[in-house]
Amino acid sequence: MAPTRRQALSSGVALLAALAGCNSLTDGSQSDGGSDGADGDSDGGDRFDRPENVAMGPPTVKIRKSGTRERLVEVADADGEVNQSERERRRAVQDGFVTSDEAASWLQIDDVEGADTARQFLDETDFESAFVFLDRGSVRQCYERHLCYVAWDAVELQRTYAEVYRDYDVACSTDEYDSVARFVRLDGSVDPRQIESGGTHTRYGGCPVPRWRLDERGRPENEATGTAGETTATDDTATAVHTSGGDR
Amino acid sequence: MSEDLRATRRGVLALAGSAVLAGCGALPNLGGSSPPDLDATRLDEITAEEAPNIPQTVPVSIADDHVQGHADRTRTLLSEAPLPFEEGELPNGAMREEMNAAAETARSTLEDAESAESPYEAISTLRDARGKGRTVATAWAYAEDGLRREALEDDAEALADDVAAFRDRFSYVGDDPVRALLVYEPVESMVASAANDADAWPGDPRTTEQAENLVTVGEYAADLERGRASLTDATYLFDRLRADLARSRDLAATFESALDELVDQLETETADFDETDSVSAVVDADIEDSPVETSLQYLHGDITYSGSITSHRDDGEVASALGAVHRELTRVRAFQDLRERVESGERYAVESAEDVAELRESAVTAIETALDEAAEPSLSRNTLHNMAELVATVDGEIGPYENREQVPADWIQRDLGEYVYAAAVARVTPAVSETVAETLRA
Repeated sequence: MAPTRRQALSSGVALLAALAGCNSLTDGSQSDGGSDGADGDSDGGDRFDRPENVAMGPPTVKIRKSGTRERLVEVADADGEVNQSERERRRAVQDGFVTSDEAASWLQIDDVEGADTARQFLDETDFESAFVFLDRGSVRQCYERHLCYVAWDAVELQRTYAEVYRDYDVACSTDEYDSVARFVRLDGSVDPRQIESGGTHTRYGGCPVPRWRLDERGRPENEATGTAGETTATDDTATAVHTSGGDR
Repeated sequence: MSEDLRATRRGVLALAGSAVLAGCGALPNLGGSSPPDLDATRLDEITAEEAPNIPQTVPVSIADDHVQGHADRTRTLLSEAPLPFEEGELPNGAMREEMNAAAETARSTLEDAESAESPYEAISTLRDARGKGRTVATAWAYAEDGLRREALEDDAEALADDVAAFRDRFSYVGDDPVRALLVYEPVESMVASAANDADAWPGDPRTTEQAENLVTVGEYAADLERGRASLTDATYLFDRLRADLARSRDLAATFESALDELVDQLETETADFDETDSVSAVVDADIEDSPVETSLQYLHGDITYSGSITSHRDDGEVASALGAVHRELTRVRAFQDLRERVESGERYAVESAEDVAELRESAVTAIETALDEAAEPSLSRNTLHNMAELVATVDGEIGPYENREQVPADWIQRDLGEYVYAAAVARVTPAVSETVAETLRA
């Protein structure tokens, strides 16, 4: 066989390159933010630089509802007129940045299994030393997403997920989507008036090796040269995850 | 001689680039003047013509019961699962679809093998069929018997041990070095695949760890199955060659010195090539936006981005390194051939569908002529097989265009460049084979 176009296209490299040229989809990933997702180099810096803040496998809780793409968590409308400052604060929560007890109190969580755990997760967060990012979206019904890591600086926060099959014995349809809301607790503080969601990047099959751990040829660096003290969570059951039983 | 099947980096990128354009809509017409339109119906007719059929072969006989052994194994694997899987057996719909598709592929691949053009092609197809069959059987064992990745690790270890044992008893024994080379090159490649498959929890290096589930465990088992089949075939070919030899000698030194000499020759012939050069900088003719520009770019990329000779040599795969030199020599001489043609005024402009017919016909004729006239037909055969496959692939890429009477020529310029590529490589192949054979037999 010759190295034909078809073969070349079936190789990961070509596929990746081909898709990257069209849009931000890479092996099933999606980017719902304004910028390019974790694979983009639109942040202007060296794409291999370690982001300012990284949380590998941070504490997280998720809720899931089967057969719908409607959001499971809403930000409550204000009672009556609010000043501009509060409007901005509520907009930041809509974006996912929950940075105060007040902001947490605006969240209306659907009555699905795990909602209590999510509420408790918010209650237990000390907003003096941490904040919560709320990621809302949908996932193909036969799959689930594991949070790999979150990277952020003062102006942008990006999430990287692995999308993997759910268990073989979970009844699900390839035509359906489930709605998911995930709360992620991150150390430190951010200014909700400055920061924006930088989108999600999803790698099919497993967590990507973070780009700042790739050498210039795009290969993972030797583990020994990786950033010490980080662990990669490919399975967030180790953290405070809770999946609603209603969608199983 | 079989060729390194891995596309070169530039080749891949160039192809990916064309996919991007194909996938994202048409390229803006930067030239200003609009390209000629080609008659779509005529293009369909042209590309529907038969491409040359040159089966891949190996110069030892492969017994039918060896071929059937692979087919039987595939059928046994498929019989282990209740197919097609229903909702009750495999509730996860995405996995169910994936596994039913794998079973379907296993079956259709079995059928492909039955109509294979040579026993060598049949076993190559059947290795894939076995892999798919094993995926399905393993998926069912995962659901029904609780089989997990850990239970397959003994298989992986046994395969790795058997690869090591084979390598221990392997040597480049033979009589005629050309015939031996044609056996050892696929043997090396099969053993390398087997070694790779033994170490093959699926995933790519940019992913930290592939999740373990019914599908990935099934794919892992498929790799081990294919690796086992590859090692079985390598062993079979090696033993058949040895059994055939009336007299034999160790050809390692012969291969090594031929490799040195051919690499020197290649270096001489590629001395003027620089990867930073653009094709237009090294070709003194106006070829912009013509198919031959694409062909020259592909060939230039093949030549300047090659690393397979060194990597095979580093891995101790001398026969494969010789195969890679053969390949490189055909590419560099094909480049020179095309360069001389365009510099002496040959035109490759495409104004009508008849020009397409002519480009395709040149490729077909070059392949057939090379096959008939080749001084060393066995050494040329696999290159010509590849070029024939390339023509067939391009035929498939050009149309059919439903609901369209005219096709702008620039839509298919890259495809046409592959016809020109195939023609040029085919034309120079007999002479390259002769060079390689003479060096081996010197």
